[in-house]
Amino acid sequence: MTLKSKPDPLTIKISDEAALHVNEFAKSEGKDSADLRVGVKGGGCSGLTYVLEIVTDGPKESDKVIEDNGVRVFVDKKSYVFLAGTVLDYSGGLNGKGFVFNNPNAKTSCGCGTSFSV
Amino acid sequence: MNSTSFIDLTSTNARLMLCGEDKVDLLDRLSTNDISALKEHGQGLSTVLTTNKGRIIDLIKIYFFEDHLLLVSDMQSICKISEWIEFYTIMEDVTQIDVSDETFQIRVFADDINSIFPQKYHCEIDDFFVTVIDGVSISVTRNKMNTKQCFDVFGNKKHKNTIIEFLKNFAMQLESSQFENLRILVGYPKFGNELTEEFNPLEALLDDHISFNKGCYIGQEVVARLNTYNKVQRQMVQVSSNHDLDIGEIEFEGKTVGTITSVMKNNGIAYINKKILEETSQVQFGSFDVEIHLI
Repeated sequence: MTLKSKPDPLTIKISDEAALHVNEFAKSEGKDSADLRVGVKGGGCSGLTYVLEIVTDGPKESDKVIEDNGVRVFVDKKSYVFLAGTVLDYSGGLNGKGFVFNNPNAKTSCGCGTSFSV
Repeated sequence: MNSTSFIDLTSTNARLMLCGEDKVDLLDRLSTNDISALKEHGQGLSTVLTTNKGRIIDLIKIYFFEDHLLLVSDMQSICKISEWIEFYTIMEDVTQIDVSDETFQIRVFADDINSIFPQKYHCEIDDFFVTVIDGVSISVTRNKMNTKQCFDVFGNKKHKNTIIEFLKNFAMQLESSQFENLRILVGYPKFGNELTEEFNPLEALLDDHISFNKGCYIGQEVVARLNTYNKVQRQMVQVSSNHDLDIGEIEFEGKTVGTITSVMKNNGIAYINKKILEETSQVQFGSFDVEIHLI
């Protein structure tokens, strides 16, 4: 029997696919590596909207810094409350191409998937 | 009733200052109207805070001052509104200051505001101007309660009596029961009665305070779907009878078809199943006939 490991609820994980695309972006910008800033802001149909940026200017003083799969993730502490346990993936399927938040805290999502409620 | 009258709404309504760089952007993402259209001092608009199910939290007014927004809501809803905004202030630079205790709000009903204030002012609906009366600086906003034009006067609470004495030269002061009667006669919704999480903004006829092309806000998906597919089930109406009414269910041919949400003697406001409006303009409350009047 193979035990499937559950994501650690107290961190944010980066999938292999997502890490690959972050590194590809860094290379296309002529850099060795890039970091991710993730967060949440109020709004969107369901109440909370994900924020995702690829950044090169380092973390802010109040950020929580998480490193996974070779990618550093910066997240402000209030956003982290809503994102703890999230696995950031990358989807290249027919339904759209881009980063996807698999967030265990999200009870509902809007139709386009960019906002959620807790 | 005297055509020019006023009511002191200082303790009926709450006033909340919103400061910080992201105040407009945040409110735009939390409410139905296009708050981003507010760009300069003197502009204002009405907007509806909605839940993610598209239900009403409250109808609020937003006024754009140089360094802050002034949010005006019902006093009973301000705690919920303040907590709502605080919950969604995550990465944003937004701070709230409740100025309800330091400020006053007086609503003036007048056909022509220039008959009261000495200078000639042109002011669009929802916008405001600043003027000085007897040495007191006040902001005057132009509003309407459905068909009834009104002006809200805001200022420092320590000068409230000065402004009330000034207004008494032109207008009759209304008691709260007279104001409630007026509200019901013009069919204007109130927090706790018509403005509750039981209803959505389209049922409450708040279409004018919804931007259907501004993009996402909390509850937008539901509100847009109801509007696009014409799925609004109920409609707010004004009702009257030859007998005194009360809060409660109204029936047609023995079936419940709506609810009376506000009453003043034999007049009221109700939500009624829209399909019934196509069949009849008369329903029953208990053993009394009730006339339906579209707002």
